[in-house]
Amino acid sequence: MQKRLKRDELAVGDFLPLTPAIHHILLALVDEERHGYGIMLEVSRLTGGLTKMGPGTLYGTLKRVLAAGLIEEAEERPDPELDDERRRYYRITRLGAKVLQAETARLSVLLDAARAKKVRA
Amino acid sequence: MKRTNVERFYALLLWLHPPSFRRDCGQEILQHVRTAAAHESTRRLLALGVSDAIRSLAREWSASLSGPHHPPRFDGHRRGEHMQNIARDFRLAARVLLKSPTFTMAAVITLALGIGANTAIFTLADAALLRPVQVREPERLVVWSWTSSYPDFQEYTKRTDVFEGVAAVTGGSRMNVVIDGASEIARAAFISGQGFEVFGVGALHGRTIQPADDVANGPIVAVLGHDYWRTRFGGEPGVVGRTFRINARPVTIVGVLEKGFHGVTLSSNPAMYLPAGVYNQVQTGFFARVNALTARGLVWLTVIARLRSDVSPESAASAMTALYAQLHPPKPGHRTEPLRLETLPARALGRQAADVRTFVGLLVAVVGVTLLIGCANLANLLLARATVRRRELGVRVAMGATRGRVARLLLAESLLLAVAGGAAGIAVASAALRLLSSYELPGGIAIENMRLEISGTTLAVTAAVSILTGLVFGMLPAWRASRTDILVALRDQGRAATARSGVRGALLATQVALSLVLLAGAGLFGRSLLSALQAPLGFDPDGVLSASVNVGLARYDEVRARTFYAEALDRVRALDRVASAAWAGMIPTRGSWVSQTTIQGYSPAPGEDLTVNMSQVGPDYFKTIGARLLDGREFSSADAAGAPLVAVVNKAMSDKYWAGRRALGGKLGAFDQEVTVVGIVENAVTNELRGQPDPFVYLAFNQYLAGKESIALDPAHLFVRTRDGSVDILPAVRETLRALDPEMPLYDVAPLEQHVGALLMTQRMGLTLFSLFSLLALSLAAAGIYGVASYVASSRTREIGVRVALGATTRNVRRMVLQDGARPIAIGMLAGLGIALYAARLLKAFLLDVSPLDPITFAGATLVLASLALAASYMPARRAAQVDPIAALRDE
Repeated sequence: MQKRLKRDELAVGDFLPLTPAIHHILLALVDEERHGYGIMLEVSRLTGGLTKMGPGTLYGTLKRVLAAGLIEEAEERPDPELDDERRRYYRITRLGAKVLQAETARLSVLLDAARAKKVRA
Repeated sequence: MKRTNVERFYALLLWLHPPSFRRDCGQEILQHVRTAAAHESTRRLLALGVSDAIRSLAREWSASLSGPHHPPRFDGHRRGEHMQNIARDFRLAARVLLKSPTFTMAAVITLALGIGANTAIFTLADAALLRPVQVREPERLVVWSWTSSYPDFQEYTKRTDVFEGVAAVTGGSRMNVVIDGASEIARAAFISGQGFEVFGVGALHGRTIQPADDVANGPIVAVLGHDYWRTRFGGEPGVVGRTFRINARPVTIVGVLEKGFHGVTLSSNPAMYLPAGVYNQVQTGFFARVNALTARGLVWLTVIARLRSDVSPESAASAMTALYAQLHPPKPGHRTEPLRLETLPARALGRQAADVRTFVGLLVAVVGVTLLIGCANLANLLLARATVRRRELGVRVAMGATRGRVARLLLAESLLLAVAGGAAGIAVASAALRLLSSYELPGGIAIENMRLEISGTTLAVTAAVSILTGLVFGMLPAWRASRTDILVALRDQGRAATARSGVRGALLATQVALSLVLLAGAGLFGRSLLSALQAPLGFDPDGVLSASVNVGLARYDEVRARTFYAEALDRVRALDRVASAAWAGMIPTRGSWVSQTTIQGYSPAPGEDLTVNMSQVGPDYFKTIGARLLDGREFSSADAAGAPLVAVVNKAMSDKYWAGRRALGGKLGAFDQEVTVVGIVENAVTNELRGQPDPFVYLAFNQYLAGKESIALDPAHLFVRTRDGSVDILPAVRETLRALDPEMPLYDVAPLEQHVGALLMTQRMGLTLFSLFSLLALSLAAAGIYGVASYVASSRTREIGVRVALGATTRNVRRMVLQDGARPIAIGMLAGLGIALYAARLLKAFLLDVSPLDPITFAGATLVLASLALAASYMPARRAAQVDPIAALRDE
């Protein structure tokens, strides 16, 4: 039986499945505000160095995700760890967090199914 | 803040993106790159930049062309369908391209030539300038400016306070190598025991030469160079442990050097290395007579040392100069020049390093210019095509294709073109490399020795260039086409297009300007070659051939050597059609020994250096090579061992040292013996065509085949002149010599003309390349001029129709169309002339007897280009003038 979806959920479903780039960005921002370079570092760390986002892809995707309302800009501020230049920081929005949750749920269903069929990573 | 190269590169990539993307993300990306540059290697960042840009360019342009009313696009959204669309775009694009084969061919060939030439020259530049030597940290290796003796070298190795390690190596000399009974000539170099360790070069198989090998009487071991191993032994790893013979001595192969190492100079890539200690065991002739390991007077080693990190080259040089003065107390009145230490990469380019750099830089510039012309042409082609296709694209949009879709189609077309062009370009590049292999860089660096290979990096760069070219030049038309108003496009084809001729005119002017520059370069090299060919050689190589032997390498003794020389001469003279033949100790164009001399009745000024060229030549030598005797006689068979020593001097020698006196009968000193001048011969070129002829003393070959100064076991060269001026008896000469002794090392059996040709290598190479590229540029420019003229003519058909209807004559119309096309051409020619006049001074070092500002060349180049331009624009003008006014007006 099909459950009726609320408006918000409808919008969330519209974004799925996420592209790897968007998924990575949302995952990188879910616990902390970061600037672009920080996102790249975090993505690289999360994937064990397997994923290296080029600046064109990174900022191009950021622009689109920003426009879609999944993330928003935090205030600009200098990063003492880097070169103290002012940088634009990003943080995840409520919608973004929900999309990430939904994507995670979708993937974990698939993951469980795969495990049940003894597919090994 | 100063931008680094990485930032510049990314800024360039950024510039290729749509304006909206640059505005939104540009600053952040540059900031990002600046941060990343501090943490990551440049190479990685550049590679990432290219792969990233290819994706983001396609995505951003596609998004930007879809228009602002489209919702932000998520790539993954219905990804399957997206991929399908892309595949469909490419299929459609391929079909469209195949439908206009002329355009497709023209575009692909243009790209292939531009990319291919660039890849080839880039490979050469990479090998010659960026990586002349493949050793560990080459910039910390310094080379002695003079060659050293073995005992001196050993003193240098003790200076661990200055150097981490000191190596000694020779450039490689010809050896008689007998592998499995087959004899061949190969170059072998000697290296000190620690040499490879100092260079940081290891072995691919087996081991390198070790200090334990470097002893005088030990067994002879050899380590093969990678290239020789591959070509001669087919890359067989099992060669380690095999034995063969070098100059009749048994040698064991102990290893194969790692790939990449090709010697310490560009000019020679030794086939194998032997320990320096076995020098006397292996060498023959002049060099075998002194103990190379103990004689301080025999300087045969190039010393190369790795500097300690805390020592500067200057302080090392002064320390070594002082050490040298200690070892060789200066004689009174004799000043030792201070030692200079050069870094290995600088020295590897040889004595004419600056010329090599300029020449290769010139080549890079020339191919770069060609690529620019090619790109301008491609842009013109694509623009012209987009204009012609306005109607077709309008129909597509009217039928429901989105603008993004149309733009993607155009993009797919240009990408396909670029990929095809890049692939064909690789073929062009390998052909170009084969062509280059037959040439030499200034300073006699045979390009063949450099074993040029298209590397992975070069390939990646080529691919990136071709794809970016396609994207850049596909983008402009795509962007324009997507803005086309459908209704306008469908209603009137071609009227709204005049604004675009501005861009096309500018592209055309650029092409014309660059073509003129190349044409002028070709002209200068051509004139230079012409004047060099007319310069007197001092002998006549027509119908003369030469063959070189080395009896020393075959382990002859002097008695056997003398018999061989006499026998060979007799047999060759007996051959059909041989007019004369003679032995000589040198080849006229290959330089000679220089030696101190004394001249009776000539008192040198204080400090004057009485060093002259000397060489031994046999009876009939001057007759055979066609040198004119000015006075006296040439050597005869009577000038043999035991007879009074005689010499023939050249005119320069006679004029300089016997000024106002009669040289004939004069006495001079050669190798501490008194020699009488019996003849004077005209000046001949020695090893280069330019400059004043040097004083030259020819000694009698047959008087130096025994004794202290014997040349009997050194290389000797046989010259043969035929009666009919043809050189097709070459195989017969080879057979005759081979028949005398099949194991005799015989090499360079060739017409003398070929050696003379080598003198003109730079001019020839310059002429070939410049002609090739200017021909290419000219045909591209002609196509461009023709295209623009036809385009202008056809876009004004209606106007011309009106004019003709109102009474304009054919002549008026023709002139109008010609004038229309003439402006960009005239501007281009003026600009080209300016650039060419400025750039020509770079050629100065390579031109013989021609001023880089030679008016005839520049006038000629301008004239050629002007007539070509006229011819290319005349046809469309004539066609326009024949427009039928009624048809032209009705068509609308």
